Order: sequence, then structure tokens, then C-alpha cells
Amino acid sequence: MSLREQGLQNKQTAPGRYVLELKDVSKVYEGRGHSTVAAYKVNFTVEPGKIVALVGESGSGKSTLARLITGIEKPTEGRITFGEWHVESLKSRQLRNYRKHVQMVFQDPFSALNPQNTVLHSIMRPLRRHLRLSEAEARERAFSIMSTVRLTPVEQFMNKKPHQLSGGQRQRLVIARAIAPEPELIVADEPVSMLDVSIRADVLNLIDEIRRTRNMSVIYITHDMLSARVLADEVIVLYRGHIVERGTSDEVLRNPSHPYTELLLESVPNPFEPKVRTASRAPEVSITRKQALVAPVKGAAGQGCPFAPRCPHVMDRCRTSIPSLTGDSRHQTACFKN
Amino acid sequence: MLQVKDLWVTYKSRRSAGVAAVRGVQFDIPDNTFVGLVGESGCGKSTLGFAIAGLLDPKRNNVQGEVMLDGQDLRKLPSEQMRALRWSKLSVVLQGGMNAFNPVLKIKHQFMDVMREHSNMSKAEMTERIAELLSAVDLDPSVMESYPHELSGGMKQRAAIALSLVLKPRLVILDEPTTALDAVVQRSIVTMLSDLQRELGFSVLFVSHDLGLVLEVAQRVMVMYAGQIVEDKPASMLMEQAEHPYTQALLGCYANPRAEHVSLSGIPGSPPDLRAVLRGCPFAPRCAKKMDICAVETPRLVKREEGSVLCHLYAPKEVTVR
Repeated sequence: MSLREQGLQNKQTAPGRYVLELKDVSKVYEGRGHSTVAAYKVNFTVEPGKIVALVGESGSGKSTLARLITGIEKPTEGRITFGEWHVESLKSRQLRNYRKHVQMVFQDPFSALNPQNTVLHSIMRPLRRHLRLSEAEARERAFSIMSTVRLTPVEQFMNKKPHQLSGGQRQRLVIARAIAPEPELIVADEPVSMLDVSIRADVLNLIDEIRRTRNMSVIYITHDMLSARVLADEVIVLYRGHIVERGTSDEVLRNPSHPYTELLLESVPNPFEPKVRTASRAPEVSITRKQALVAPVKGAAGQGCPFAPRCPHVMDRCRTSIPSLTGDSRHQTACFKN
Repeated sequence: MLQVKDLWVTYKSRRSAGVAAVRGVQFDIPDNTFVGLVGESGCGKSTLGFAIAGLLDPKRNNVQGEVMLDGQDLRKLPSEQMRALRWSKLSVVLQGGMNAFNPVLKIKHQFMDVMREHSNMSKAEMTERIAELLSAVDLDPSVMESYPHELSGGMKQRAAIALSLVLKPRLVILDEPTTALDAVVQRSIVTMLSDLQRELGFSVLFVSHDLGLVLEVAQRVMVMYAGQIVEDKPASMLMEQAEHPYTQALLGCYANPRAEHVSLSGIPGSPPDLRAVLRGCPFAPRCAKKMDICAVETPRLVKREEGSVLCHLYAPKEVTVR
């Protein structure tokens, strides 16, 4: 272990000291004859103890950002810093140390857990591996984490295997495992979209409680605007790798000003505000995947707003130049309409 | 058109008495109606859909009761005749339906397979029908020349819906057809489906865990809990005056994202183990309005002016004669 790594290791104390910062981050996937821009000059910061939601459809680049932030992939351009780490230039050993501080929660609690491992083992493993606790210490810590995520009574759950748990319990186990090494940042990729509506609130409340009590930062990736409103402090709306709107969640969701955010909001099942039928029948594009892949390249080459082909308010200008984010720190939009 | 009477489905088990996933379900679906069937995972909603479509293996499941489609009891039909009925009278679209396409065949050949099996159209007629169906689900007819991997998830699910309509069935059963898709795609497919249902006049049984979505598109909603239909009402009525505490709790899981203050509530606890013999009302342990009687006595179906509810709260008072 190098001196620098040891230095980093000794410094880790209670969470809540590091700020995540993305500066002009771009990611381009090169394919045969075409390239796909999954992130385009993305800038944002996550303060300690804050929850930032990245919202958008599949293909908006939200999961790509998660992969860049956790160091699974490297950005094509730009810088990602977290405390003293320069995430884009970490080597594999440093990366392992970094991941102690940045943990992920995935969408599918069925495939994220080893079916052979008991609940207790799943939680103890990261404790022993990352925090180097002894068997007895890890066991004790694991019990306290289990009560945090309400897998209680502990004696009843500790020896269960994933198939003996319900979907909600499984996702709580995944969260328990993620918070075990006391990370500073949790990247949660659609953590509730596979769960029943009736237990979503429970898991969202748990995430909220954890960040309050442990002062962790959370990046919450979702396509569900309602849960973003409920959980997040700040919302960043992504479309094909571009940030099209951002701001405090109350502000963005109550007064959306980008047509894409409006489309996302309209799509939320909302029995309390019946929609005008057929209103949203047109916007979804009937193009093949090939075309979909080709389209964003144009946007990246400076040929216009990425949303222009689907936008109901499209103007000539939108096809020739990319709008930049304007507004104050509470609410910014990248649209020529404003 | 479809009448289901006292339907029971038990998954057989060598070790125990089996899992009674559907317990005495009764309802009917008239012509040209969009019906939603809603409940949490494990409530038996998919099993009910499969039982109606005759897709359950009789060796592993014990199905009892009647499923009448246009006066024929599907449960008593020999499998040959049942086969002929599928696609032409009743068709099914599954959650993973978009992945049920054969990856090495063009979309049009998958449609033609079904058409050849069940009709004697010429090739030109078939092509014309396929184009017509693809446009009906808002896809470009040229999609028929594509292979499944060239289409996005939403497009495949549209194609699967088009395929289910190929022989003009009277009833289409859709099991969570949009659950694996994004909110925007989900919305556009559901809107398309409800438009199509009204234009073409078939009936839909839309099975979903998402009450909010179902309330927006269905004309009637059946709420299922622990293998029973606990409330069955026109969608507009259910929205305004849900009677069953379970339906009320499910509605609490939704909120208007644009409202001034938003909070979500869940439902504490989890559904009962269907392996056990249930005593009293199965929802009682999670119910906010539980009474003494709920733990001991099974509620009876209470008829309402429109629809019904299965709850002790609404049981008619017994008249005691002195």
C-alpha cells in the first residue's frame, strides 16, 4: 500500500466531509460508424447530507453518470472530484479504497444479492473487508445496521437467505449492505421502481432517515417524478446526456419550464388530476433504435437542442444551436422558449 | 361476455396443502369494456389472468369454478378447441411479452405464423393486415421488416399488443404490459391501448400493480387482496369513494407531484402467507379500521348500487327478532 493510500485511509472519519463535484463531464461511446453522447458537459455538485435526484427516461444518461461517479467508467472529458479524490484518474487499488466511501444501490434487489448468503453474512462482508473489523465487532455492527433498516427482530432475519425475504425486505438488505462501510455517498439507481407501490414510501423514508442520521449524500436516479419530489432536495432533469432543467425539487416540479420536464410530469400516474386523453399520444418517437442512436450525435456536434425532434414548441433556433442553462441557483432551464 | 364464477386456483405442493392463490373469485366483463385488476405482488392477480386464459398446467394447479366466454365454459373445453379459441377469441400479452419474440425472425414472420395457424389469408392479405395493425399501435408499418433486437422495449411491447389483436379477439388479457418500461413510454402505450379499445370495441382485462395508472384508463377496477376481489367499482366511483380500507390505503400511495405539499404513505406489514388457512379477513392485520369481528369471521360480499365490496364495515345489520 502506498503512503498516499495509507494517508487517505487514515483520514476517513465520520461521513459528511466531502463534496462531489462534476465539472464539464462528457462521455461519448464510440460505436461502428456512429458515436453516442451519454453525457454532455455535465456540471453539478452534491453537498454533504443532500439528496440530488437525476431524472430522465432510459437513454437519458442518468445511469452513465452513476457509472462515472462510482469510477466504473472514465469520462471522455471533464473532471469528477470527491473530497480529495480525482475519480477520473483513480487506479484500481485506489479505486477500491474510494468505493469504501461511495456505495451503490441497484434497481433489482433479486439479482444484487448472492442467493447463497445469509442476511448476516451479506452485511458483515463489507464490514470486514472495508473497515477491517474483527468477526465479533462486525457481528455486533451488523446487528445495529439491521435494526436501522428494520430487518427486525434481528434473530429472526439474520440467518435468512434472499429468497426467504419479500421484495421490500430484500431492498432494505441491499441498503443495509451499502451503508455498512459508512460511505459518504450513496448512488441509488432506481431503488424502488421494482417494488410494489405500497412499500415504496417505506424504502424512500429509510433512505431519507439514513442521510439525516448519518449525514450521507445520496444521488437518487429515477424516472419517477413523484418519488423525486418526495425524497430529493435538488432535481436534475437529463435528456440524452444534457442537463435540460435543474433546481430545488419543489421549484422544478411545481413550476416546470422545460417541455421535457413537463412531458415527464404528465406521464406520472396521477389519478387526482385526470389528463386530457390522447394528449400525450404523439410525442413518443416511432423510430428504430438505430435512428435513436444516431440522433444525439447531431446535438453534440452543436446542431441544436437534443429535445428539438420531440418538442411541441420547437423553433428554428432550436435546430441550430444548443441552449445553455439560464436562471438562478434555485431553478435553471436550458430552453430558448424562456 | 366473460363470466367467472367461484373460481379457485390452488398451486399443488408435495409438502403442504398447497397455495390457494385465487379464492372464490366472481365477476363478469361485458363487451367493449376496459377492466383493471389491481393488487400487490403475490395477491393472485396474474394467476387469475392465467386461469382465465387456460394457461395453467393442470398437473401443477388445481383450478375449480367456471370461466364462461360467450356461453362456453372454457374450463371444460378439450385442449384442441381451447387452442383454436386463443388468439381468435381471447389473447394474452405478458409482462415480458416484448421478449417473447423469436430473435431470428422478422416481426412480420412472427405475425404470419399466428395468421397461418389460425386463418387462411393469402400472403398479400396478411401483409396488409400487419401494416394496419402496426399503424394502429402507432408504429411505422416498416417495422414489420425489422428484427426484434432493432426495436426498443416500448416498440416491442407495442408490436406484442398488435400481435395480440391479429385475429380480432373479443377479450385481451394484459399482464403488467408496461411495468418494465419508462414512465413516458408507459403513458403513451396505455393511452394508445385505451384509444384502440374504444375504436375497435374489444374488452380488456388489464392486470397491474399500479392503481394510479389503472384508474386513469380503466372503466371499471377490481382490487384484489390475498386471492379475493375485495372491491369492484366503476373507476370514477372508486376514485371518489373507495370503501374498502385496502383500496383507501392503496390510494394513499399516490399523490399529485405538482401539489403544494407532497407526502406518500405506504401500507405497513405484508400480505398474508397464502399457504395457511385464512381465518377472518386477510387484510385485518394491516387494516386501519379493524374491528373485533375481522379477526374471526370471513367477510361476505356486500352488493352496492354499482359493484361490490368485501368488508365487515359495510355488512348489513342483522335484524334481531325479540
